[in-house]
Amino acid sequence: MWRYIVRRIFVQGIPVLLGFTFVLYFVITIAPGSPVTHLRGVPNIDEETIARRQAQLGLNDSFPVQYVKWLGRVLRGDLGLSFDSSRRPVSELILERMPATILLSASSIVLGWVIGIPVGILSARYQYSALDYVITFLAFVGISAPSFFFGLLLLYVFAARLNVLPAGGFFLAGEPRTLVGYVQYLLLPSITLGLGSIAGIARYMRSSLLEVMGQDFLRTARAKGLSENKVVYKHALRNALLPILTLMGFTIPSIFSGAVIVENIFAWPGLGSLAIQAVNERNYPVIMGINLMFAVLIFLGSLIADISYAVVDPRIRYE
Amino acid sequence: MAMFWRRFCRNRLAFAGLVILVLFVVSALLAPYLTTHDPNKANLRLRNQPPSSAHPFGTDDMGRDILARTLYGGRISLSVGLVSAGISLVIGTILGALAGYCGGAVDTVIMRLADVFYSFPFLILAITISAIFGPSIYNTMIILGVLSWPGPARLLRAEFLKFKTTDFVAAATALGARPGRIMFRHILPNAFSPLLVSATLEVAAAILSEAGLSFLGLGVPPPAPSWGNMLNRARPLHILAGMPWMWIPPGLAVFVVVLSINFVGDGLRDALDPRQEKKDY
Repeated sequence: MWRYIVRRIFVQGIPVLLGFTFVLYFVITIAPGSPVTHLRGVPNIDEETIARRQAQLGLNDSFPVQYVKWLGRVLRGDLGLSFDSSRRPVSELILERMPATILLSASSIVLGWVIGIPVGILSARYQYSALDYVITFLAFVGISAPSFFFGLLLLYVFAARLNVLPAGGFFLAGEPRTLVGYVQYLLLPSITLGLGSIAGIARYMRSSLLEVMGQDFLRTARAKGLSENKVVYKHALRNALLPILTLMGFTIPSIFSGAVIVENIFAWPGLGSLAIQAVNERNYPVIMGINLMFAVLIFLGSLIADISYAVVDPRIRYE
Repeated sequence: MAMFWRRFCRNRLAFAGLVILVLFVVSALLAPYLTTHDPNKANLRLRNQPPSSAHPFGTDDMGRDILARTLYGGRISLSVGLVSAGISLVIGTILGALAGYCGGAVDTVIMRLADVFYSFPFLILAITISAIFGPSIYNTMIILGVLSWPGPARLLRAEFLKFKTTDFVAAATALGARPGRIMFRHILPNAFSPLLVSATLEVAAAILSEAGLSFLGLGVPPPAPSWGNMLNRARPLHILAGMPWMWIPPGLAVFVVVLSINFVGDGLRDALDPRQEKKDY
């Protein structure tokens, strides 16, 4: 087991993460303008001062040297200072916004599982029934519905027309943090973000269960006289659930992508809104920091998914 | 071909999807004949008008005709979707073919690179790059195309691995065909079916991504209409709540087009792969 985890981290995870930092650093360095460009606008500045500043910032180093120095700082937790007037450390800004994003993403993943799995089971259990067709059709709708449109529709119906839920945002200053409050604020954003995974998991669950149902050991189970319910829920389901676990690792990046849009629709105070704000201000240190943070979150998320898969299915470990 | 077509039409949803898709494409092409309004002509005296006989979908906050903007927006949204899917398919096909055919170090490098792009939230990298180079129609096409090659690349790699060891490839090699010829003349046509299915899904994904980027203000910049940036303008609460005619048409257009493409993709998969006929998932 440990050998599997170590291999998963060092052979697979870390190289991908490093590769990503390289791509990111490359993209940022080819951005037009350099950190000393603005100095040229300063009156009475001579070329010598600019050259000294350039050397100070390490801009005369070759690209690989700059990259390694930057990576070293990142590893020590130094993500630089925000470009805006506050000049706050980027790491501080990010840590402040992270809990909201994790809360939103986690609740939509949970929604995806809690709704998607039972719906997929129903669909497979009553294959070719009217129910199955309705579910299959709705799953297509869920996969195709753009989150920005679906989110606006939910806001229109529940916040603007029916006026039963808040029109986005998260606890106002001084508002008591009750459980009901959490549910009210979370409900629309997490349904919007989770819709795609609910539909995806339902479809995947259906096909996974149908595939298992065709296998020999289930014919045996039926042959020895077990009731159909027992066959499905005791024997087939356990095996059909396994592939669903791998799906979790795959869905995490798309959940975070979706979070950027959903947070912006619902004014959710997370990393996604921070990202758009930073992008509009061309605040490069913050943009870099958010990219890195998402990369690390995804690395950890898919690691957890893979490890839990290896725990429940011993076959994986010996591949 | 005839059999393929019959099988495709048996899937009613796929057929309906194809019909709707054709309607959208035709209406985008014939936009100047379907509406007499100029999509970019502002008329401040006719701001925020609800649907009427002169403006069937109403007007926006600058007095522009929503129907005209939705029709012309279709041209932009559909072409961004097609071009960026095309870019990703070309890159993905070349890299996937190289990885599958050459194997070894080439394979490792390309596939690790694919992992890097695959395991990262696409949209966040897309907004970063768009912020650096500035949003424009062409940048949107390039960004979406360049970032989504790993999907087709993985698919093509698997196909090439499958065919690399077949007899007809050995025969071609024995006849002295160069690797490029074997890859693109002999193996690639065999991978046509999965590539076609993947292409439809890439187009759907690209249309969604363009709309998402434009919705965030980082895709197709105004005043050119795209379905995404029309939705972006509708975000202030008084428009969202009081003037739904401004955002429902473009939102519905993205949704219906993507849904239709997904149905078509599903139908193609069933129709092109006879082996799947007995399996029911």
